[in-house]
Amino acid sequence: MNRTNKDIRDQFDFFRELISVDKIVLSKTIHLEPKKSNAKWLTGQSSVQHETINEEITFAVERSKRDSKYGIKLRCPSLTSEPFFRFDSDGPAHRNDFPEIPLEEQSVTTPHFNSYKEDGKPIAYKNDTLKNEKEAQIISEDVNFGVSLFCMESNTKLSTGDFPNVVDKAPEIEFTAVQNINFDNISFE
Amino acid sequence: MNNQEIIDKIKSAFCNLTNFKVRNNALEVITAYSTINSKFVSVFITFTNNKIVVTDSGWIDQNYYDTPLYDESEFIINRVTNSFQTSFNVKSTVDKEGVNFYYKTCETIDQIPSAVFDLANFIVGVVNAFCIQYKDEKEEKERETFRRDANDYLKANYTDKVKLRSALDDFQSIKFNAIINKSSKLYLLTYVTGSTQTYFENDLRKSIVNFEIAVKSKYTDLIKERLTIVNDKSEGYLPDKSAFIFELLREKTTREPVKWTEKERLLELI
Repeated sequence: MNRTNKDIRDQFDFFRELISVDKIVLSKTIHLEPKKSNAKWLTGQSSVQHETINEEITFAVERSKRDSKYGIKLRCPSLTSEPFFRFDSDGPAHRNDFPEIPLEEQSVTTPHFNSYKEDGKPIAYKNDTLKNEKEAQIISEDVNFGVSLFCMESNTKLSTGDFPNVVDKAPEIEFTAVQNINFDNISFE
Repeated sequence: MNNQEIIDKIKSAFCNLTNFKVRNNALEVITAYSTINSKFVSVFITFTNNKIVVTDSGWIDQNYYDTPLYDESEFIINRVTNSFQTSFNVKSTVDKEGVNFYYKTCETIDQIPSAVFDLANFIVGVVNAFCIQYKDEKEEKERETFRRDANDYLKANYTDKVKLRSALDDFQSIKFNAIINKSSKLYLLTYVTGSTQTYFENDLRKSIVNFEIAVKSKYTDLIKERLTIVNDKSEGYLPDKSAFIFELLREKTTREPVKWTEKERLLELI
């Protein structure tokens, strides 16, 4: 399967500028509301103002109600329909399928960032914070830590210099920071 | 070249690729199996209700593998999933929130590696099945465009005398692209197009069969012409390669196939 993002490959300078130049998230608070297309997920977003690019950019957070897995995404629809920069707190490891990388180093476990290489191929990576297992665990358990890390990595912040705060619009009574699947309640034959 | 060196390299790389995450409720095995959308498959080992359970933890159902959603693929994906479930002896259950878990159970710890191997293979197969777009978009688009152009042309020239996607009363299941009823005479028309030789020839065969059946209709005496419009602009139009099937078509039609680039010929015939 050719996963090359041709939009990004063909406008790679634009993509680089999108990421590297400072961006301001316009909403101080991201309110999570039930996702219309998937009842098990909450989602919230804010517009982003880019210092040099005057295109529509959005900053979006999604969180699963079941196991506190969350994702943070930056989108620029005029460039490409896929998010151009992403963070996954949990879920499958990504394969950086490049011949110059030894097989045993091709697996990048979550939490990780997802970006693109010059040829438009997706690439996952961990920055120094995520490479530290203890810090990575704390980040994967708290969406607001993840947002701070994501913002630093993608040169995004509030106009005050702080990072946006994620809150559940309608907090669920049984919500705790870490939710786990209770396998005892599932009937395995 | 030292064989042993290569053997050791492969063994160690394969082995080191397998990774683990200790979770509160399960041990996650990040396997060495990857999907065509570049995800390594994870399986989860947990001990619950006196059983060792190896499961996908609902990741397929919740689309944690981030596969594209092609609405028209549902039927084929269900077939693939069922076949793989049977082959790898994978069971499924639904939790109280409606999430589907695929799993295998083990009696002893010794059985775990084999169950992990099977479930990982199963997940790779199913996730890959989701990644493929089965519908040929180029073909669908070309077919739709040609059908619309031909319909518009007939509508413009024969207005209410033309019935699109219509059948003879006594063979309702045999649809012609158009039937024109002019001066109490019927003109049956089929369209032939295709982005490849195979698609094009499938249309030719369909036309042959439809006309074959039409002559058995009780209205056969009313049928003035049996005509085929061929899209000679389509990539599947290879008259030399498809000569044999064109020959069969000529036996069933009343005229030479009408090429789309010479569509004015229709106006002389009808």
